[in-house]
Amino acid sequence: MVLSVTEKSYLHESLASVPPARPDGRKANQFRPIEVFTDFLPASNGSSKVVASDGTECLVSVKCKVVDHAVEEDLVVVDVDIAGHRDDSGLVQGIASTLSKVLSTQLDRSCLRLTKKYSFKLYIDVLVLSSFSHPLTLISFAVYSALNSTQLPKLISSDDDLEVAELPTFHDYDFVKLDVSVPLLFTLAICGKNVLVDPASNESDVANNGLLVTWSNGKVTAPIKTLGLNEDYVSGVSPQSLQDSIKMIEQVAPEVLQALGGI
Amino acid sequence: MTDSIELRPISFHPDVLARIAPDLSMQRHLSLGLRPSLRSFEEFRNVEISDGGLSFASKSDIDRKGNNILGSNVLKCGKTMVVTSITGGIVEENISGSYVDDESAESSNGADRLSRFGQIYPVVEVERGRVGAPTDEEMTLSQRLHDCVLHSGLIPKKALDVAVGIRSTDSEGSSSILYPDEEESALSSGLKSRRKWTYVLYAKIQVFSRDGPLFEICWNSLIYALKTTQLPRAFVDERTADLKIPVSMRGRSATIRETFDIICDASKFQPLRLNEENVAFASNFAIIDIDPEAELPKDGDEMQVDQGSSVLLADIQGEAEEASVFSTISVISSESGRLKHFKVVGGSSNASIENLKKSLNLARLRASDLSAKASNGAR
Amino acid sequence: MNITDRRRILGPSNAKPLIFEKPESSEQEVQQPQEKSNVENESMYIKNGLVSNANGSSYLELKNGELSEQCTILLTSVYGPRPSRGAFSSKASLSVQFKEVTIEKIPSGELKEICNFLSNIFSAVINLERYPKSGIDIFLSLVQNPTTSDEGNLQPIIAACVNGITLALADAGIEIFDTVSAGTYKRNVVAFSKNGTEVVGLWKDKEDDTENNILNVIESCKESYLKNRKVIIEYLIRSRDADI
Repeated sequence: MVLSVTEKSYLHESLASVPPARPDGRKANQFRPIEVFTDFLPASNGSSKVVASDGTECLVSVKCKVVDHAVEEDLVVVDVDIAGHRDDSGLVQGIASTLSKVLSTQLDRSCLRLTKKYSFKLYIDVLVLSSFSHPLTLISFAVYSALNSTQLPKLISSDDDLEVAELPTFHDYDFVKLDVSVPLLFTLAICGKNVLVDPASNESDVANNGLLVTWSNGKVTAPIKTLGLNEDYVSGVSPQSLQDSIKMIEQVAPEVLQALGGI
Repeated sequence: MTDSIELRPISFHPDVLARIAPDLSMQRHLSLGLRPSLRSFEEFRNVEISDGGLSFASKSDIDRKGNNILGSNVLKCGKTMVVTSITGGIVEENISGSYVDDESAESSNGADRLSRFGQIYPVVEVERGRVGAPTDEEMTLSQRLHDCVLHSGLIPKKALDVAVGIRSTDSEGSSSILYPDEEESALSSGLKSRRKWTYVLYAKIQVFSRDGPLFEICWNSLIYALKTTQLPRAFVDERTADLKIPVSMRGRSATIRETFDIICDASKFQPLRLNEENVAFASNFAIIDIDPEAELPKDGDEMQVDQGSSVLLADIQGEAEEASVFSTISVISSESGRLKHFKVVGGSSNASIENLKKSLNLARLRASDLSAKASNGAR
Repeated sequence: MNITDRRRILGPSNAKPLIFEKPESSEQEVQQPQEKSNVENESMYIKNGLVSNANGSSYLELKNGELSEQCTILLTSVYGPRPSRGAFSSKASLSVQFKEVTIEKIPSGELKEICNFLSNIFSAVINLERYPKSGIDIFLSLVQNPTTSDEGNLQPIIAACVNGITLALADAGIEIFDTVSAGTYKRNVVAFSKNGTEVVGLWKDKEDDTENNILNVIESCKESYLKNRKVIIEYLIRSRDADI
C-alpha cells in the first residue's frame, strides 16, 4: 500500500519515538510470525517455503551435482528470482550476489567433499512470490531451512580415489543429511535513534537507513553493509545506532536459530 | 492605437548564437578567417599520447595477476580522451588433412588477398551519460574500424600465429620452456605441423568528452595501441603434449581433437609484428561554402570574396562545425602517402579536385607528424 | 534460440581466453597486505572537469606511496539535473552506474551491489528536493585497478568512488548537504558526513582478524575520512581561487 506524505511523516515520528511504536504492535526486536514448510519438492534434494504474515512468500530449492572441485571453484551457486522485479534490477542482482558470496565463503567446503577429486556442487534456486518488504531476511530463513533439510546421496565407493578419475558411486536409495552450519542474514531498519528488526514494508518506507548483518557460527560476521530501503527518508545515522543494531542481532539471533531448528 | 512599432535588432552573446544558429555563427567566424574553435582553417588539434601503463607488459613491478591487456593507448585530442585496451584470446585453426604450405597459398591474388591479413575485433563505447544498447554511432564506428584494419593489411596473419613451446620438467623438478623458433632443434615438430593456433585480438575503445567525429581519433588510438602490443609466449606442458602424439600418429587426428591447455608465459613477450609500410594514420576534413550574406558588415575597405567559394577545414571539432558541415572527407594515409582509406561525402558543398588534392597532402603531413609521435612515445 | 550479440563485433566463437602461468613465488603476495595497510604515504591526485560533455566530472588518481607504480584511476562524470520524462516526481531520481573501462575483474553482481550502496549514500547527501522532475545520473569509469583479482579487495575502490562522486557533484554545481567522503580501515569502508558524527554508508564484506567492536572500526575509518575530506576541500578551494 502506498502511503501519503502525511501518513509517512506520522509513521516516521512514531517509529522514531522512544520506545518505538510499530504499526503492527511489535517490539523493536520482534520478528513477524512466519510459517515454514520444508522438504516438499520431490525432485529437489532440499526445499523450503517460508510465508510471512504480510503475505510475502519465498520458495527455495537445493539441488546437487557431482563436480571435479579442481575445475569448478564455486561449489555453491545461488539464483534469485523476485516476482515483479526484472532479473537485471539492482535489487535482484544485489541480493543474489550477496547471498552467493556469503554462502560460498562461509559454508564449510569439507561438508561437500566426496573424494579427493570430486565434490558436490549445490544449486540453490530462490523464488520470491509477492514480495512487499525487503526480502533478504526471509530468503535467508528459507535458505537456512532448505539447506538444513537437504538430503544428499550416500557415497558407497571409497572416499580416497588417489586423484584418479574414478567416478564416485552412490547408494540406490539411502541419503545422508547435509550437516552444515548456514549463515543467517538479517535486515534492520534504523529510524531516528531506534533500531527495528525485520522491518515491514511501511516501516522500510520511512526508515533513515537499513543495515544488513550476518550471523554465522555463533557470532556476527561480515558482510555488514548499509542497505537502501527507500529514497525519501534516507539519511546518515549515528555510529551508536550501528552498534545497537549489532548488539540486537547478537541478542536475537540465537533465539531465531532455535526457532528455525525446531522444525 | 496607432503606436509606431519600433524594430530593434536583436543581438546575442556569441555562445548563445552558436547554440541557436550554428551555421550563422560558423559563417561569421569563417569570414574573420577563423573557426569556432579559434583554429585557422588548416590547423589540426594537438594530440597527446601515452600507453597509460595499462598493459601487463609495460611494467615490471606491477602485479600481473588478472591483467590480460596486451597493448594500450590513452589519446587526448583537444578535450576528447580515448582509452584503448587490447586483449587477446587463442583460437585453434582448422587444418585440413593435406597440409598446405603457407608460402604457396599466399602467392594467389585477388580475392585471397584478405585471407593473408589478420583482424581485430573492436568495441567502441562513447560516454554520453546514457545506459543501454550501443548507439548507431558506436556500432558504425566499430564496424568501420574492423573493416579498415582488415583491408589496410596492417596485421599480417603470420604475426598472429602462436609458436607453441613445450615445458619440460627434469628429474630435479625444475622446469624449462623450449620454443620452436628459439632452439633450432628437432623439437616437437610432430605437434607443430598438425595443430595450429592463432591469437585473436580484441580492442576495447572508450571515448570520453565526444567533441566532433570520432572515427579518426579512434583509429589513431587503435594504431598506437597496436604498436605497443606485446603477445605473450605460449606453451603446452610436456606431459599433455606427449600424451597426444601417439594418437595423432595413427592418422586419426582429423577426427579426434583433444583440447590442449595452452598456457601463456607471464614473463616472455614478443612485440606484435605489424606491416610497417601499412601503418597509417587518419585525419578528416570538411568543405564548406562561404556564404557572403552571413558576413559581418564591414566598415571601411571591402574585402574581395569570391561568390560561392569554398574552404577546406582540417580536423572537424565541435558542435557548430559538425552541424553546419555536410561535405566531409576522411583519409587514412601513411607517412609516405600510401592511401588506406578514403571517404568523401559530398553534401551541399562542391568537393573540387583542388580540395581533394589539398586534403590528401595535409593527411600525409599529419600522418608523418603522428607517426613521429609514436616513435617518440615508444622511447 | 540463438542469442548472440548482433550489435557488437565479437570475433570467433571458439576463441579461448589467454590463461597465464600461475606465478610460482607466492611469497610476494604475503608481503603485500602489510604495505597496503600503510596509509600514511598514500597520495591522491585530483582534477575536475575533464569530461567536457558532462555537467560535472572528476578524475582521481590514487597511489600507494611515492615509488609505487600501482595506482587506481577513476573517472567520474555527473549528468544532470536533466529533465526526466514520464510521471511527475517531486524530487530528482538518482542513478549510479559503475563500469570498468579496461580490465574487467569485478563480477557483475558485485558491481550492482556497489552501485546500490553508492546510490543509497548519495540519496542521503544530495539535496534531491531541490530538483523536481529531473534525473541525476552518475557514471563511474574505473580506468585502472591495481588490486589483484583475488576478489573482495574492493574497499579502496569504493572509497575512491565516494570521494570521486563528491568532487564531481561539486564540479557540476549540484547541491549537496555536506562534503561526504569515505575512509578505509582493514576491510571496512565507512562513508561519513557532518564531520564524522554521522555514518551514511558502511561496507564490510570480509571478516578481518582484528576488531569486533564496530565503534573502534568506525573510529579508525574516521581518521582516514578526515584526511581525505581535507584533501578534497583544499582542492575545491584552490580551484575556486584559480577561477577568480
